[in-house]
Amino acid sequence: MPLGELIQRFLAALAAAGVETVLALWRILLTLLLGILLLLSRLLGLFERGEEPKSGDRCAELPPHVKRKPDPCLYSQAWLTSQGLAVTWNNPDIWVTDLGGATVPSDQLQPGTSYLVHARIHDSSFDPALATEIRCLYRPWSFNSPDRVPVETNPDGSERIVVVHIAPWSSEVGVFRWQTPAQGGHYCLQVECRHPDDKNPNNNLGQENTTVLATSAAAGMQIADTLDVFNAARVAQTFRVATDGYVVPRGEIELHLDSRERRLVQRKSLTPVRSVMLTRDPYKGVVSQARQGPTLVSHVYRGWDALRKSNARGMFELEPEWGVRVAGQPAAGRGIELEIPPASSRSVTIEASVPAGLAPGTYAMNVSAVSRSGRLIGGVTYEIEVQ
Amino acid sequence: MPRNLPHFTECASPGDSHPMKEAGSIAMLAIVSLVGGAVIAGAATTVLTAIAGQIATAGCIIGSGVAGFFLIGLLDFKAWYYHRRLMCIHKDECAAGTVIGHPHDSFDGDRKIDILIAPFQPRETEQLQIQTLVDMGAAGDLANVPDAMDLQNRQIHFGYMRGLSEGQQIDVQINLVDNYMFSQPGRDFLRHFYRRDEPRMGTAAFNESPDDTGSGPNPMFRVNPQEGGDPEENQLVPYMHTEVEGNAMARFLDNLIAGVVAFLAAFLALCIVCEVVTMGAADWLCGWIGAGLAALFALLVWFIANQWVNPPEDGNASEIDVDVEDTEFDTPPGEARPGDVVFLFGDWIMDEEHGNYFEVHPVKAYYLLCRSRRNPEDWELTEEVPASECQFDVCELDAAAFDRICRIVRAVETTDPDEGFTTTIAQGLSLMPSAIR
Repeated sequence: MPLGELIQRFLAALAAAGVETVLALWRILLTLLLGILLLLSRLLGLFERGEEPKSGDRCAELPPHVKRKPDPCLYSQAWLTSQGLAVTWNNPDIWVTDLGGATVPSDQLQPGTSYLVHARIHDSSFDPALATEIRCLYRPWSFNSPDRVPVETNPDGSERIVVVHIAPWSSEVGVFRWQTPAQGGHYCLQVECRHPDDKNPNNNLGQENTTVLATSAAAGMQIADTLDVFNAARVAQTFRVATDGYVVPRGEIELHLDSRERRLVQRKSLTPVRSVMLTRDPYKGVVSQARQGPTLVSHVYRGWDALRKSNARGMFELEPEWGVRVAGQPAAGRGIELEIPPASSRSVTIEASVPAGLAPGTYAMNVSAVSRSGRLIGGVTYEIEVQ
Repeated sequence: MPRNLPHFTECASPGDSHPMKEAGSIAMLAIVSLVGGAVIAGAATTVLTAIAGQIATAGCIIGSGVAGFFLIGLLDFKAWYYHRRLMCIHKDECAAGTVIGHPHDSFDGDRKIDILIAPFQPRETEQLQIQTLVDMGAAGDLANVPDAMDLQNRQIHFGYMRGLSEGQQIDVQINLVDNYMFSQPGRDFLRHFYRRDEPRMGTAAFNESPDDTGSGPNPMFRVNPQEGGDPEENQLVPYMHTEVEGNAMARFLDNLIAGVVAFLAAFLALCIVCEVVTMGAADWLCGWIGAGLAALFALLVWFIANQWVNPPEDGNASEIDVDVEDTEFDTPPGEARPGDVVFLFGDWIMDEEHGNYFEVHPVKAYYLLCRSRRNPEDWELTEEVPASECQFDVCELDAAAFDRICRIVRAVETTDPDEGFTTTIAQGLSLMPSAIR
């Protein structure tokens, strides 16, 4: 037994004994006072502890300072609409290229041809989104069609799902190979991401549904398109179809970090009493009983308000000169209502005139359908390139 | 504010950690306590002499010394438990695997989570274990091994494993680990959690850990196909132990220390009063009366502290929550369920006191990769963990993916996030948080 170690340990214990004895005397004093209080409280029925019973779920619970929760997400029209924002169906996180990597507009795909569908998934959390699944599906040019088909299948015929690991506030791109249907036609693309511990599963579905048109500034253009609006519900539903000219603005935003460190404690009515009990924490020295032990450090990025205001829904109405008509009715302003019987669809014609004399540039006309309960069921963006 | 914050235990360097059950450790604790007791007895003598004006009785001095012995002993024990019990192998280590059994609390407040190391999945490993048993039976290393088809019945499988001696069980598991699991090409990148590996552990930790080869080895992993209510006792497959820390033991010891200090203070006070009142005529009685009354006082202090003021169960890792809720910062709680595939980050240690098992302790970060969809209550009925229903298949995890995940996690857990974040408006819209908190 080394003498040096013995002396070292003894001195350490003796030094600790001095502090611990003082702290213990303080605890004793408080304990006795508390004992008298508790005795009185028992007699008078005061100071119930009020602890939550330990439930079965609680038994499997992990303490918050070790549990991590990511938030995989993408440009999600349904989520942004629920946040009061205007949306485009020209999804910035979904794009198609040919096998050589050249971008191909999603309405100009050739039948029976192989393309690559790229799906960018972000992580809007300070925790990594490990093992995030990405699905990619297509469906007929429509609003709310239930016929969704995986763009790529495995050799056994099952849907191919890409798994990515995303660092916080970063993104990863999943790539799917898509052999377009031989019969041709126009299709919408949907990308979903999924994580078993997702902090917010509502921002996980994005759609790409764009038609690109070109015209000269002098000539203007007549737009006329027909697509189906589906009602998959068991009851008749009324949908509001409205239009706007929203385009995702170019530019950047700056966010700044805000952090918070919180103590981890038991929720009990005697916590204030325990907070005056002192103990020796090996890292923090003498601290109150309630202040010892682990803490939870959480972060948020602030600075979203400007982005919300500049993209708010209702700010991007098309000029009356566009003369937008849906199902034969003028659709300016709040749009028109369509009633569709249960489990059926209705073909709807969309008509508009691109005003002659527009300055060269790219203009958008977004058509979106919302159920009476406010749920966004689908939409399409007509992108007009005025030369 | 990095997340990698201090925790209750701190592992000691190889060579500085030690178990308490060894004769040398107990002797050292006893010597430290005895010397401490003697010093406190000497201090008590000085105090008694100064106040009572005469040389105090032997009873008062011995009683103080005994209290001092326990006080110093408890303090040294607490220092050992939290600072010299665990041997560091690597701090900030990554691990991945499947949760085996229900997480549960240990007596010292830690939340125990057992995992089968990736890239192995419980059902697959059980099948490999059946092959191991059948092959060992054919080679004559085991007797009366049931037919492989019979072993597909998990009750028979469990029954046969339970019937083996501990040494035989370890032999089976080591054979399984060495020749059926990690011998598979490309699947041995986490072998170091189950078998000693000097390059991965470092020479110091390797030399200070028990041999895991030869007869009667001490495997780094655990085997426990026993019967009983303890969730750790119903496992067929070898697993690694991990613990999320609590501090129930520290609270328990603090209460004992408070009791001993209460005894010492009361005993000294009573001795002084007795000496002064009796003018030294009842020297022997002062010690006994003082000790008896002080013991009652100490018991009262300990009882109140342990029951109401500082109950040890408040230090259970599973019981804590943030002191102030803040919806802007809070996230929903998470659970650990049998069958979950998880990625863990924490200190890789050897517990000197717990059979020299290797553990991740404390778990500093817990990432869920795949959620088990089964009802946790099914465990007692079926004794099985179903195959993964996630697209992330733990069996497909390879070294490159593991390393990549580990790099991401280590960076997040050991560094602060950037103070500012600049992105395009399009990406900002993709990342948009909820406006309503």
